[in-house]
Amino acid sequence: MSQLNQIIASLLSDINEAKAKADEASRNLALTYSSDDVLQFFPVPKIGIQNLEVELKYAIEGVEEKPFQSSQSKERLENYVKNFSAETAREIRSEITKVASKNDLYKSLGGNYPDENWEGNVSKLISTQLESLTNPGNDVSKNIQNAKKSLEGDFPQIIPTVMKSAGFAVVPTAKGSFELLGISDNDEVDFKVTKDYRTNQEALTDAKQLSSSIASNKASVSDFKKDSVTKSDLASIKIGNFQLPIEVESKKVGSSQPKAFFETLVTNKAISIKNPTVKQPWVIGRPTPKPKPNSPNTSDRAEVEEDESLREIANEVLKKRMIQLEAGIGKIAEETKSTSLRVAVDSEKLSKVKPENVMTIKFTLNSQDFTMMDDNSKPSIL
Amino acid sequence: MITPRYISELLGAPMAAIVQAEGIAARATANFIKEVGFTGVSDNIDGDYGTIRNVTFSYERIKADGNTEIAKLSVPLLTIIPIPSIQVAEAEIEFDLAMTQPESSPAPKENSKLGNLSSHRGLQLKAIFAKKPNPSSNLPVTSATSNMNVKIRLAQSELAVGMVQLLNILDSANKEK
Repeated sequence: MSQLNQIIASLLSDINEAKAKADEASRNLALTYSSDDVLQFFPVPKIGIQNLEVELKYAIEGVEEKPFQSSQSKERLENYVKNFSAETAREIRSEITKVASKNDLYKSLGGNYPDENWEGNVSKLISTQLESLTNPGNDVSKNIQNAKKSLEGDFPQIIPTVMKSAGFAVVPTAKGSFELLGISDNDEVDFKVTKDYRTNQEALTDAKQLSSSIASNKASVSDFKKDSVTKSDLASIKIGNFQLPIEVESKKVGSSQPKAFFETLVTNKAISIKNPTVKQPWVIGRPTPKPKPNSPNTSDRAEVEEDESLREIANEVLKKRMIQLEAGIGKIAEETKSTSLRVAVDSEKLSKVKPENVMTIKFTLNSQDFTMMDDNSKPSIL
Repeated sequence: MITPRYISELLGAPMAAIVQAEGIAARATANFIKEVGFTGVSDNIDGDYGTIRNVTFSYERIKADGNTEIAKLSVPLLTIIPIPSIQVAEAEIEFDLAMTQPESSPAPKENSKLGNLSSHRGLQLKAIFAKKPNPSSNLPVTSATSNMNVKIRLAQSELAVGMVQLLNILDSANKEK
């Protein structure tokens, strides 16, 4: 069982080889003639095929449709995946910038986050995950699902998350460090701890200490200053020997006395920590997140809530784009699909086939089909 | 022939045979020239054929004064007898083949003198010579009958440019000896 195109191609190769055998015989005779005193004056026999007819009977055993495995179709898929990855990375970046600029918790990332370099790396990451799609014939849906799953697994590392715990939020910065913010129940920033944290765990530790000390009225504020450059009011929260500098935008302090303002701030914070607003699912329209079964320190993690707004928007973009990707790859696959006939040509098989299923193909080659042109555009063979 | 052979061999063999047959005929002509046209053909490899064989005859010739005389004339024998020389002007080959199950070819045939000319391809076709199916019969093709008919019409062709150049070089080398 073979494809008709392969059989015809093989027949044409056989004809060429046969002609080459005749030419080889002419070459051997030419060498013999040249060494003979009489034969050297004789014309060397050389035959040319004037006409060749082949008539072949075959039976069709089936029709086969399969992706056209060629460098062009692979190149087309590679270009498509490359452009798709770049466009997806651009869209994810644009959506993250939009969401981050509207959310106070992500203010420390700056208005230009993520930058072009981030977009380029994400484009490469997507492109790598989709590499299997550039081989025609692979299971497109399965590969896309695998790539999507893999990318969603990579997003927690490449998309920043804010961690909230009892009136405090650990927020990422564009420098790669973390900051600690005092936040209201509505996620509005009350104050910022003016300290850079290398890890979110360090910031969380301070957050927990501040939270418990403020709630138990063990924290006091002092060292009130004004910074006209940054337009902020500065103070320090003291818990025993432990001291943390904090700052508040001066416009929030307004005409109030800094001491009174900061003391009220800490008092209100203590109240809100002790009586946190319960965000009921029916109020906010979102179900309570279920604890992850394999997550370590489940009791600790329960106190920490992750703000996944950036990751969620990235997942949304990815989901939408993957639907487009499947359609795009499907279109290319459809356009590069080839149909071929599976045929039987051996006479033994043909003898078992009904006569009406036996087809005949006939082709004729003439002298021009055995001619090649030399540099002077004259036939060099024949 | 029972063992299936490559189609290229089945097609190439009769074509090569015509060329070789013409070579054998030419060799016979050359031998005729050597044996009939020369005396004392030597075994010398430099091709010294000895003396040309002449036919001498005498006849009575009338002179200008009206008297007669006996004249002798010698002419090379080769100029007065036809030299047997044949050349295939056109040939037609027709045969019928019964193909066998095609085989995939992993590599070019090693025994081919053509080397790279027998390039790698997906399938290698083999066949045996078989009898032509009866066109008036509606019976299915049987294993004993052919399913492929080939007709080849051949004619003499000029030597390729490269071959002519090769022969010229060899000719010059002979003269320079």
